[in-house]
Amino acid sequence: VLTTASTAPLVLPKTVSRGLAVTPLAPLATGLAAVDAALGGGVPRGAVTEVVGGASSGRTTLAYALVTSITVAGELAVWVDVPDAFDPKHAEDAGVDLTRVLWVRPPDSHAGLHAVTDVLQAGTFPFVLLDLAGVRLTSALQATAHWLRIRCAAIRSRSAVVVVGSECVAGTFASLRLETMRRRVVMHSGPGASFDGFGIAVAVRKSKVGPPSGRDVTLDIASGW
Amino acid sequence: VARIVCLWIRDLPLIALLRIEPDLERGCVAVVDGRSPQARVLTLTSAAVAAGLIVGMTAAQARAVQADVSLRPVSTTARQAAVEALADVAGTVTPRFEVGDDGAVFLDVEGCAALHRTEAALAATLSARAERQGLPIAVGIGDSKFVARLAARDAEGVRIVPSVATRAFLADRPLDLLDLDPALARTLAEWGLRTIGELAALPAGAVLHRLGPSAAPWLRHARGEDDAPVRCRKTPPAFREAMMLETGIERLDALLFVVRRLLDRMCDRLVLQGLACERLELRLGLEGGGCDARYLTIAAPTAESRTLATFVRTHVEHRPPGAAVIDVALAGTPARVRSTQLDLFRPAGPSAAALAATLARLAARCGDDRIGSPRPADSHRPGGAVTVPFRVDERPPGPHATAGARVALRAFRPPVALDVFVQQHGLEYVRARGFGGRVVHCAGPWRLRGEWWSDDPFAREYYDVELSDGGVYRIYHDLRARTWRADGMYD
Repeated sequence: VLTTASTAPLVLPKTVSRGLAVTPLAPLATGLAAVDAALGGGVPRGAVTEVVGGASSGRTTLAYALVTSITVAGELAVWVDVPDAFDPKHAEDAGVDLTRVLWVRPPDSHAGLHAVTDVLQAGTFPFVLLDLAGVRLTSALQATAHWLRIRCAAIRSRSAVVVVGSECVAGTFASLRLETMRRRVVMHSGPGASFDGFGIAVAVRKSKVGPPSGRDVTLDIASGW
Repeated sequence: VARIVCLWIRDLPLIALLRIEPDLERGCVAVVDGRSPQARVLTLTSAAVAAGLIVGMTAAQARAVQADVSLRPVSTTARQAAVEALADVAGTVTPRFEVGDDGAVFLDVEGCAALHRTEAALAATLSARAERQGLPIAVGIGDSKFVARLAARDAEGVRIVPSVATRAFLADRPLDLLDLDPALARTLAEWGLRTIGELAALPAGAVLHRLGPSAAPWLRHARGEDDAPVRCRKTPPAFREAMMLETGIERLDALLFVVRRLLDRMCDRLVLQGLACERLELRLGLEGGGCDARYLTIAAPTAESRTLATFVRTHVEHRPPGAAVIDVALAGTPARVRSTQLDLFRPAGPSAAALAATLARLAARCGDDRIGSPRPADSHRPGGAVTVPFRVDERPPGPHATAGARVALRAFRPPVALDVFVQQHGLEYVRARGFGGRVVHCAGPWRLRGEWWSDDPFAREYYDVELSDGGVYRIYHDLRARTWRADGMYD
């Protein structure tokens, strides 16, 4: 039935009027039940997440768990490896389906940021991890323009971007920030000694998209051999 | 009755040049048949005609008339590329097309009527597609290749000769257009024949009785009855583009600007046929007569000129040409991008074309040996890793152990040299560039020996150590070199 045009003003939902994401997508689970519970399901899509921690704090273990969960679900992941530190043998042992991982080793951090932008702008991968752990921070690496571009591209492509590093680099453009800390090392010294794993804590330091920040989760991670 | 379309480029040498360098269209440009002062002018831009230059004068005369005229030598490769681009346009309408010796392209459009409302609409479609390739063309449509070619040469834009009007269309044309055998031309002249119509009006049997069967094809042409079939051609093995430069280019950015233009044109042609480029050959003609040839294998087939340009930039920056460049030629090997098979029960992966473009762009940025799917190296030596070309796995995900997280190892590539202080009871202190400290806990050693059959065997004692700086590292003592190294950090 045709009617005359309404005189009432047309009200668009805010998200539509801004031209950005409309329907929220399910977050990407890390596969670690306690962490997922603290994050409200996992790492958000269409946002930048930072995982920050010192040496041997468990940040890479958390990243491997995330990639394992994603690839086992049949989705594709990109690992942009600026320090060239990805170890396929350990990743495979951790359960990562390597056939669903694209490993990119840029020559420097600047190229790494551009590689992330390229992947996001193509919109071909639902998960992109940028490994900057141990990389010396420069002003170029922290440039606002890069991170603004990455965040906008993540929103448009609805991909999850995870940045693993020793310090915060994305600043205000990160929607979620996790800090990893090592609580203890399970290692027996002496003859027949063995390294049996870590006890780590994951703290939610900033959360714009899920449950409020301030939660701490403690995990025991086995070495696996 | 067959209907043949002829696509014709007027001033082909000039159009081939303007297709690559459209900025020259407004300039005073003359295309000449060589680089010497005696080279003859073949064709001119309208600005050059307005300046008083005429076709046939020598390059020296052209310079005398207009000192700032740009004299560009005719490029066979550029001409060939323009004709190939025109053939690509023809290929979008029908697979039955033929490229003539003079650069004209003939299409057999019999049976295509249902796809285009009228012949005029078909001609308009072809003109528009050619225009997008930088090729202004004339279109002629007739019952035979001969009629279609004459119609195209006559036309400013489009000339359609209906079947019933074919003989009338040919009637007043001079006999010279038939490209007659000289002896036959003399005979017909002695008979007093001047036009095609006069020849066609003669009784065929009587003419053949006097001139012999060899005159039959010309007689059929004169009657508009050319039934020579259109010879189909295969897809070319490479898409070629080329440009000859007026002066040598020494700067890299200027060279890449030229290359980008050629890539744009090549990619337009690839897109027209739904193809992508999987291999690129770049030939740079150098001042002094040398040639710098490069063969670039693209990580994944793509038809994005921006991606290919980034790839070329990376390559040329890495190994610049040894002298100024005076001509550039590209040849892209085409490949079909495989379509994607979707699955009902799994998340949709990226489309093959989008994935290929992304991989090519990443390879151009990082190097094609630095992207791929990771695999452990086929070796007992710890820490080895290789990449294999990334392909989307169509199989459903298999069962994987997801019982819990495992401690990850961050590899040090290459392994970091260490100073290790050993006391009687074990390792005491570890020092390296970037980390170090007192050994808090130490597990090991584990001995590994292997590859004794090769030139590079290894024999190592591995330790896991927790240092006072907070890190847990995997270190080893190389028993052959008597050195200490760290090859990873548990994280």
